[in-house]
Amino acid sequence: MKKLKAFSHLDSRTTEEALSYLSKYGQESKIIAGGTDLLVMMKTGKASPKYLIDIKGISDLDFIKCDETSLEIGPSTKINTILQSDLIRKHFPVLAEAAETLGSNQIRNRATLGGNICNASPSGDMLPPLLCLDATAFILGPSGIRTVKLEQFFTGPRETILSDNEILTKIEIARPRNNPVAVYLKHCFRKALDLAIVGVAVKFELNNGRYSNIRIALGGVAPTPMRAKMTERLLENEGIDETTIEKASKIVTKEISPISDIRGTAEYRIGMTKVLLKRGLRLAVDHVTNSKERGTS
Amino acid sequence: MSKLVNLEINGKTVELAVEDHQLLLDLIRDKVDLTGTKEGCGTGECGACTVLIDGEPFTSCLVLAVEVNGKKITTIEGLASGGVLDPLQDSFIKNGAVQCGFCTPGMILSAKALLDRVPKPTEGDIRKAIAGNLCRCTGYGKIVEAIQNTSE
Repeated sequence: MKKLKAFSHLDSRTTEEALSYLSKYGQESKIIAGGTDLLVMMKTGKASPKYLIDIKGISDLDFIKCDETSLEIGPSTKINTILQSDLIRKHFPVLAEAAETLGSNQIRNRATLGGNICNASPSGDMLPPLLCLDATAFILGPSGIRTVKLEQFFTGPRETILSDNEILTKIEIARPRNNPVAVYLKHCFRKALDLAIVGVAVKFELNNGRYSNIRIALGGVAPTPMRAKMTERLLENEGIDETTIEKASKIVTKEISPISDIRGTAEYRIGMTKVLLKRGLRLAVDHVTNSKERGTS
Repeated sequence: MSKLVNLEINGKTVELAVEDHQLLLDLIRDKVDLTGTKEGCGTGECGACTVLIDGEPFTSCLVLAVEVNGKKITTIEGLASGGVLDPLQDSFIKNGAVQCGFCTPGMILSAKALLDRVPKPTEGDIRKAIAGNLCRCTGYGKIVEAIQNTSE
């Protein structure tokens, strides 16, 4: 039986309460929302906090708001809530796509967006799509709120710029002016309950026949989820067609630094990044072409 | 230090003293002696410990007992009523969807949550709903059939 070592469970009703617990207990404490990463780490001896600060009761952190300028998601929003949200499926379907690949139905009823972000696994499924959408993280600490582009949020495997006395309070994504198309492809063995061996997210906008605001974000191929900026620049300059897609699949290999681990070798990850990038670009082009023909772009 | 939790298990209200670090899985198996719910992996990756909390499936090995205060829990024992099997349970038996039986409680509860929400699921719906429940014996074919036959 995998049991937990003793700890104190502290329910927080407000962010201020959570922050004051964080300040009081510092490194002996951890925030728990869904716990689907944290409790596993505690069961396998990788974390042993003496205090768990439960933020599930803080309603201010659980929301999805969308207006003409931006989408805002609270960190305690469950992955299944994102999957099922009409707002997200309509305006940012790639987030619902990515949500569906995460864990399993049981896990998604519990796991949260903030947890996926703050756990900062290099292969976290919500992360490449969020990077493609230029998401901004809002962070609350004792001296107030600061904002950080999600690109700068991750500093290493399972490491973020959050200090011990800070908490993520919101993810904000600006609504693009032209309907973007975005896809997320996850390479893994099983249909569920699997981490991404490689994850590829592609996003761009089609404006007067030109592909612009191209974003390519990758998971599982570097110490953190990352943007492939050289590859983006190539496609931004030369357009997206079969020739440039081939070129892009070669350039991207220069930007990644995968490791060999239980899920695959570095060579395999390099190979699969090329495959998935090509597939993702073709799929995205297909989506945008089809929606134009249907007159729905 | 013990805390009191009040919850409903299979329609019956209970008040229990639990420790902060106790899992819902332990509460179910050890405190109220409902051993139908199994521990497979202990890390949320097999689904054998699946129970319904307020009608939705969760892996109880990753839920703390203190987190279910005020909730309604359904375990596999809560499905049969007055000695009569739930149609899902009956269908699993009749369709040969039970071999060793270890995945079965969690599998049936995931299926129940699906059918409660989608009375006539497609095969794709069913496979997605049970994707979080691993079975080493059956190859899933009979399980999918059993669920499909229940919904008709």
